[in-house]
Amino acid sequence: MESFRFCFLMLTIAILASPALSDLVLSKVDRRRPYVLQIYLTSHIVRISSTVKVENAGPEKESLVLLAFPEQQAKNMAYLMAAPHEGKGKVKNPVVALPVKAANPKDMPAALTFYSVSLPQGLAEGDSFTFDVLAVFTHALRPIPEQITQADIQLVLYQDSAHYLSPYAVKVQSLSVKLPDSRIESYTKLENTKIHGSEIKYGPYENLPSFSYSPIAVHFESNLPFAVAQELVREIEISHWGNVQVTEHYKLIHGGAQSKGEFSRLDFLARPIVRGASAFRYLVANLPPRAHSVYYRDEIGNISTSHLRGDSKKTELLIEPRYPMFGGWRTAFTIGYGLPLQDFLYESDGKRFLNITFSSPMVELVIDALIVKVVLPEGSSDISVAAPFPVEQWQETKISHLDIDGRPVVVLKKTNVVPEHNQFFQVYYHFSQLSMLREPLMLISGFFFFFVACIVYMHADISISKSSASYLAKRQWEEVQAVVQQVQNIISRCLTIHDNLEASLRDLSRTGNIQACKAARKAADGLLKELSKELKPLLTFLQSSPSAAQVEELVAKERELQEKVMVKHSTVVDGYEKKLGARDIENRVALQQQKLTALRQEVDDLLEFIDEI
Amino acid sequence: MRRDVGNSKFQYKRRLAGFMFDLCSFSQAPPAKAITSPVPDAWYPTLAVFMLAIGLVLTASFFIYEATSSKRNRSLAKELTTGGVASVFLGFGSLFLLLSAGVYV
Repeated sequence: MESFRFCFLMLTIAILASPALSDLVLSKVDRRRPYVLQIYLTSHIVRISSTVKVENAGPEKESLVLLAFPEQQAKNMAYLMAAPHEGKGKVKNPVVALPVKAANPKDMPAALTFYSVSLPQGLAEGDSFTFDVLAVFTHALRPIPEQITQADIQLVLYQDSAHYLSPYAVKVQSLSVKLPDSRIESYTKLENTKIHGSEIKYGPYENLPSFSYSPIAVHFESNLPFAVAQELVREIEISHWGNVQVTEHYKLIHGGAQSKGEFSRLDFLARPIVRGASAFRYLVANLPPRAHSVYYRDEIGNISTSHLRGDSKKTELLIEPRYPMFGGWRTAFTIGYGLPLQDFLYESDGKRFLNITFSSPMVELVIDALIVKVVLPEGSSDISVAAPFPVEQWQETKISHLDIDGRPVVVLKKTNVVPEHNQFFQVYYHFSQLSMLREPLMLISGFFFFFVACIVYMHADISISKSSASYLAKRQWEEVQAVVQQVQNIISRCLTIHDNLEASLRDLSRTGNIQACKAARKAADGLLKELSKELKPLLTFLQSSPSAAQVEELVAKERELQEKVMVKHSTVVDGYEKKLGARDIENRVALQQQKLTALRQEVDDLLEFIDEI
Repeated sequence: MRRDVGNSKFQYKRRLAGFMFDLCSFSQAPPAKAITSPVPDAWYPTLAVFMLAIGLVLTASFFIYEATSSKRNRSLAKELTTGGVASVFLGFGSLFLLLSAGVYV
């Protein structure tokens, strides 16, 4: 019920066009509904919400309505917004906000700042239009006393006018001030002042002239967190490999009454409500759903006092600073989280764009200077920004992991930011899918250069003295080794040819195709001859080296093996030509087969032995 | 502590009220195609393990070849091919390792 009241007790003022501005006269004001100007002082951000019904009483068409704010207030104004009013109970459709511009009308008091609201249609004589105005102010509550001890409660003062300050005559108006607590130190009593718990009501007042001003002051208790970020740097880094990384660096201060005297942790822990009423000990951040890899740290390291819980609509992060924050105390920390790419990055008309909220996810935080840095992937071009409110803007580059010429960074800066500024903004850019391969290609080329370096090292001759005995011996030994390897290679090729011959014999026994077998023999003969030719110069070279004996033995054994294989082959082929039985042929070659196996074993042993040297 | 919790609830309601107007002005995501990563995130650890395993085996074979073959018989083409293929696997493997560890490059 309470929240219902919160939402719908919007206030209204019927404003009459004043003769000073134009020849408009006000005709009629709807009195059936309680039109109330409402000031919310329930946090350190002051919100003034008003429902204004404007009527044109003059003959000329009017399409601009002026809103006036005293200079003192205008200085602290963070946000101003006007939208057509929808009655309560109606389904809220997305309403387009009315354009609001700073205005500088002539013949107006210099101490006032004006904004003009453009109405959707010009108002003809007798027409009326109702719209809502929301103005948000920061640093508008003044702590009095300015310094308090740990045990004191915090009292703040708010000053405004009970009458709606306007360049137009006001037909009927009332004001309600909502306070966080029913404990009120003092307030200005005017006629028709009522107090209901934590709400003070002024009015209704009727037929006020233009620029009527009736100062009021409310001095009340407010122990709500006065969290002010003096500087917040938000860095949003896009990776097309599937992540939007948000890192937020906070420099936070308690913006309420300054703390004086000593701080006792014992008192604070024993009776936190009495001995630390003005302190705040935690902050809540509403992160987008599916946020992952959330961290909370400062310069020293991780801060473990945080809690995270999430559902499908949001992720709630509750963080506690390292110490309770009293008035004027500062802290600096960083929170970071990753978001899934598909929730925030879109493509339309060949352009990609990031669609993400502008401000901090912290609840009820005032930011004096907000810097949003959007780090786009390397290779992005044609960057443009669409923000719902004016921001300062420039570009930088950032060198990050695996970058060559740095990533383009769009920097947006805005001062005096309130939660109302947490709206979506877009960063458009061109990006070619092929640019994604930059990072893997860098890694690949890195590894490849390493391999190339190894190859160069192994191939290079880096000895200093090219004529020393040991160097020459080494060179010679390398040559011998190379030749021995070549010999080994040739021998193993010979052995493969032997295996092929054996295979052809098996084929013969299966198919009985003598011609094919003979052809195989012929080919093998040719190859073996070539190989033995290749072998000759190598053997001559090896004659003088110490391992010659083994190599020669190997070659001799291989020759023997080769002969035996040939003999066996001829025998078998002969047998088939003479159409002998398979058993006869087997008997004939049985002895040869035994010798062959033994020889093959010896050759293999020798090869292994040489391999080891 | 109870008081604090109360405050935060209170604040939340306040915030709702404050946002009444804004809700209307929040721009909705324009009708556009969402962009996803070329490889689903869930595959990164598996890809990293397999590609790095293959890459390391190839690296091992490269060094075995370097150490065992004599200087004169070494074939440059073979060395370069083994090294090149190994570096492709190691490159993508380490990329996926970085991604699966949360270092989004």
